Amino acid sequence: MNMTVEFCGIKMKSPVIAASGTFGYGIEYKDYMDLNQVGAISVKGLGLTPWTGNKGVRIAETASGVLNCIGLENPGVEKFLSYYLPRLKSYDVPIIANMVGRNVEEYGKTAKALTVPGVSALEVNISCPNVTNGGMAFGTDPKVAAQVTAEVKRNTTLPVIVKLSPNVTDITAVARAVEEAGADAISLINTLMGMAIDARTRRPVLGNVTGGLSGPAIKPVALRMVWQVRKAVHIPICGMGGIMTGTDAAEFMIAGADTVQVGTATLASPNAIPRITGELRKWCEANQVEDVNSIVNTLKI
Amino acid sequence: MTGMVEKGIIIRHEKMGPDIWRMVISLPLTAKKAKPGQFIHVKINDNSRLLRRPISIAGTAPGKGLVEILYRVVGSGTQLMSEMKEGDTIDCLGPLGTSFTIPEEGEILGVGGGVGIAPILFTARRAKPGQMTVVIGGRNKDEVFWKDLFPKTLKQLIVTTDDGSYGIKGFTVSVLPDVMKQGTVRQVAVCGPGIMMKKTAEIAGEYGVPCEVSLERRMGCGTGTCMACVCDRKAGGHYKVCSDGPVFDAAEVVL
Repeated sequence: MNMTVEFCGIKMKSPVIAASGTFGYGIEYKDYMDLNQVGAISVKGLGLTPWTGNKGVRIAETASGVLNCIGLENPGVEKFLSYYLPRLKSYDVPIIANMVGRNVEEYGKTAKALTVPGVSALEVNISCPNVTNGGMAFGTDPKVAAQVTAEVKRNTTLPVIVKLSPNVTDITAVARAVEEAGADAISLINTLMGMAIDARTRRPVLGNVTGGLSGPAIKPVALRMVWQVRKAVHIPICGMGGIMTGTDAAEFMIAGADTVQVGTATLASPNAIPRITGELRKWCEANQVEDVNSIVNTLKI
Repeated sequence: MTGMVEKGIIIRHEKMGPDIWRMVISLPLTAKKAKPGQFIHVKINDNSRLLRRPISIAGTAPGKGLVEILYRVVGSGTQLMSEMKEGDTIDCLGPLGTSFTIPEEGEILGVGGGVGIAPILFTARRAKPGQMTVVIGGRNKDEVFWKDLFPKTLKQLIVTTDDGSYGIKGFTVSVLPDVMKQGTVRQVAVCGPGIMMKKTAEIAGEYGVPCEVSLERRMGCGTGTCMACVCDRKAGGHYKVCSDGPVFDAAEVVL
């Protein structure tokens, strides 16, 4: 049974990747699992300088979902390169540097700073719903999404994965735009914008009023979008959105994802990734699948 | 501090007060490692509820492998938790976070309000006989069940109620100056409502005694990575309550 995959040139021991924002910088989870068995780690979104994030309540639970408005708090590229990356070097796991910017130029500078040995790919976040300048503002307009992608490509030799927002009418338009601008792969979906209200106080639960919804609540939306984007572009896809089990991961791959990311499941239990990876392997074995790659884009209609 | 995912059997589960429940869980690994002030991150037995609930440890019996918690039913998640039966299995992540300082020499003053009494109780159970004075406060006599849980070896246990239906009428902080005046307290530990912790830290500060506070926030991962449960540092920036805390030196955080 083969679980290894190659995703835009990166060799991975499994198609199950730790999703940005739910796995810190990786080393925090070294005692919860063998990091060497994780497909890849997409680290928490990095800015050129540290970001402080949003004020007030940053997380809320909703039915089968989690709403967050962290606001991309992160220690910045320099701390990542000097503190976290050297500590990750003793592990045999590809590191994907997820990155954010406040304007097109800053995306380029951040990409350049992160193009170092030890980083296997860049994942460009143009889809965070919780920041005013940056994030989703770049991911909802195909032209701007293409500009950001082109700017990042100009500033790096690493494979560039562009992470798309589901908060658009037609995700295939953005997917095609970033493919044309040179993206090596697409990851989707980031969180869906939502909100929670406390009826007793008539106030929003979250400090930022709105937040990004993740977890099983958004899985049907994510599956639909992966399937649509698979038909629209030729580059590889990393699918995510509410994957809690190995069967969920298989569904994303069947819909057209070459790899998957697990996020909210890690918030629920820090050891979710090895469990889900094991379940995916068992699912393959139970279904006479000898190579996990062979299930990609096999939806029968 | 890295915790462990440990599934344990509920040995005892009982209602203690109007909305407070006590649960004793068989968690041998957690029981061995836990220190006063640390918490377990408890999974609700319903797959549609994804986030764990951070709950202070109230005591352990390492020899028997038991962990005791006291929690308040505040929403539908803790409501479901309260419906669990003895013999059920509960999924816990812990022990997590920092702990209260118990000095080798000198006395500790523990101050607890509401369900925040739980980590003070754990501290009292680990303190040496005669080493700790405890002041606890509740709304009324329905909440004074807490006093019976404390060891008899405390130097003193003072109970206040908001309505005067038991013990001293008033707030915990109003009796603190009398305790501090004796000049024997070397360390203060407090957990409770924000205003109570702020006032306690101020009073400790007036007597030049270090004070540790245990903060509460809406929490995500519990492992220090999601950045949901941050609090403000006095020096600027944030601390993560789940992993830099929940117990902090009062001088380092904005209360």
